[in-house]
Amino acid sequence: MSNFTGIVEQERYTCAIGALQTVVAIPKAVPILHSGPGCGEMIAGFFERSTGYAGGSTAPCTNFSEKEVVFGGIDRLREIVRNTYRVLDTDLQVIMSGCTGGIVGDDIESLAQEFADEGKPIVAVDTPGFKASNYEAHSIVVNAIVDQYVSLFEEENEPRSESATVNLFASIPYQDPFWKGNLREYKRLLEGLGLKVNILFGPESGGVQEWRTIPRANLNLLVSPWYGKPIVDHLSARYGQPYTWYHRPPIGANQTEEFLMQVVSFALEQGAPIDEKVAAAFIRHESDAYYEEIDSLASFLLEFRYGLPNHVHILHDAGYVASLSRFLLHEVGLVPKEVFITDNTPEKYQDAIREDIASISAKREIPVFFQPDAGKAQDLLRKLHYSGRGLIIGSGWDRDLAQEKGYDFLSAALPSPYRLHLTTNYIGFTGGLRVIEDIYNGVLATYGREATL
Amino acid sequence: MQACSTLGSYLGAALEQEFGVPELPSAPPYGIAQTDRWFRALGKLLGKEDIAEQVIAQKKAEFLPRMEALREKLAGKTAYVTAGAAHGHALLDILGELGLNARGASIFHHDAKYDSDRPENDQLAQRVQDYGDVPNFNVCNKQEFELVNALNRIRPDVLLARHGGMTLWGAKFGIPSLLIGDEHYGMGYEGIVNYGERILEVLENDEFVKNLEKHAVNPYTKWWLEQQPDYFLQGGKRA
Repeated sequence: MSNFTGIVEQERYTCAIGALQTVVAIPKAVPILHSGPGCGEMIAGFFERSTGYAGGSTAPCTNFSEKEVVFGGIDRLREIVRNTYRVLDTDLQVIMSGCTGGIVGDDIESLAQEFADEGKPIVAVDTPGFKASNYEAHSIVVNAIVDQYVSLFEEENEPRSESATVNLFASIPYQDPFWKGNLREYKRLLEGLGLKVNILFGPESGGVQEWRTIPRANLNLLVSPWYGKPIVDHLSARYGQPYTWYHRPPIGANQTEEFLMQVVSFALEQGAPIDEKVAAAFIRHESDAYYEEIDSLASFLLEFRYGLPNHVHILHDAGYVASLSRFLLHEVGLVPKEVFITDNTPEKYQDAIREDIASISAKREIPVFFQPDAGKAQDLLRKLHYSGRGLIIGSGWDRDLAQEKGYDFLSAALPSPYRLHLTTNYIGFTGGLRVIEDIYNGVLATYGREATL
Repeated sequence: MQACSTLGSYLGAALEQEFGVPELPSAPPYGIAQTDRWFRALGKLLGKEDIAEQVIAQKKAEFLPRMEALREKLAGKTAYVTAGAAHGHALLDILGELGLNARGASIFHHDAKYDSDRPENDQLAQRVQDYGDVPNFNVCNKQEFELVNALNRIRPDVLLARHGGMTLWGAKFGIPSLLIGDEHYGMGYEGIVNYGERILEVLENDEFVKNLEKHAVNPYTKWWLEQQPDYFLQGGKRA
């Protein structure tokens, strides 16, 4: 559960029902909201440009109000679900309750069962806002789909029957603005090792057909500092699938190599029929292409250093903060100063994340703050001063602060009012290069336009 | 006065010889000793020796303690310089002042004779006199293959450069490398402090070059890296 209470300014995530985007990211799935009329609107506003196949204003909603609070809303929900089948062509329906439905206690599971008994691919999951954040609810939704839908097809999908197949749990759809590109790149990299990958979300996913084969995978991969952990735990209990855990999205060569090698050795341990030499050659090839770029870039990074930013503050979720800090220090030469983790990380994961960030450098300390109140983070940044040109990587909401401080700025977290995210990836070798392009294209765009620091 | 004995000396000499405009008889003010001489020469030329002494005393009081602090931190570090003549010599002055051990230099020009033939304008001679000899001193025409060869042998703690592209090889060998294009940055007493702080910063922020060193591509053959840097010069060593 979340560990932060009280008033929060500039929350960079949203409440449990925000995980409706997890459903939207599954090809041809539809979320059905058993919530007040504002919930879907709020989620659409937070994520922006995130309708997908049947999210946004397409998603059916019971428009839960006084009448349903007093008399219960289950009849209304039944009607909405039934009509959804008439109006929308979908492969999977996921009923999600909001706060009012959750408080009233409508039995949405039983209702879903009525339709499931008719052979409908339907799932119900409680996602009242007081229960969890969307980071946490992502796992709740995935596990509900596994228990209520994937489980129906277990007979033809024997657990661990495909020794070279893995399920990947990494970027949270839409909350990670680069999720679509990241998942595509994870899939490409893992296939390069000789694995078959259930990517589950986005255009590279095989949709509900792919979800049904989740049990067949020999092993699971978790790439995350904390979110998603309940999924691999659940699959481990349910199907006996072991998992290997890489604790941050791998950005740049060092982390991507480390991640891929961890996967190779774990897959071999689990008897996956992959060729270690072929996998090593693939990693080497990708790495060489990466360093060809870094090599040519080195003069630019060193020789324009007097005009380029020399330090960076990051405001992002735990995964990006840990990964970008490590990447920027060692592979770009940008020194991370105070960094802020804005995802409301549950306390039990915080020490491990602190240690991970502390291990970035033996000779310097990177001050890390678990601060879901980004307004407070900005207040602190306002008071800090370092010599040289600075960079802020954060949400679009940090742009004004960067301007106020005369810093360069890169929008890389939600909300993102000033940047579009389509299929760009930040993970992997190519993702690291893209981060570099994004940072320095922003910096170079200031040249010749106004006096630099 | 000219601040660059490569580019300014002919003009300065001609203005004096042809039009009687006196040229300041001093190499540019890099390093304490040379900055003292430069202010004194200027004071003398303008008949304002007393003001020159005042400026010297005042600036020294301000910057010497900071310089001392930097010297303590930089003591024992080695450096290599690659730059054009005048500024390369100036950088060697600054290194000497900060107590860094200059282990070599690739300087693109040195011609004290035709620059003006004035001993007081010979910046390299001043440097050697003030701070001692510089070993592995090459006057080269910005030949990267020689620089790479020399850097590979010498492996200094820091590389100072003045021209674009030259830090790449410092970085590829994992050597913290600093390029400052602004030749005024190191002038005077404050310039020594400026440079000292920047050198400390690049030594401290060495993660990028240390990582690059592990992966850098090197097109030079093993054979070449085993030869002496002056192998292709007439009279060069054929090891």
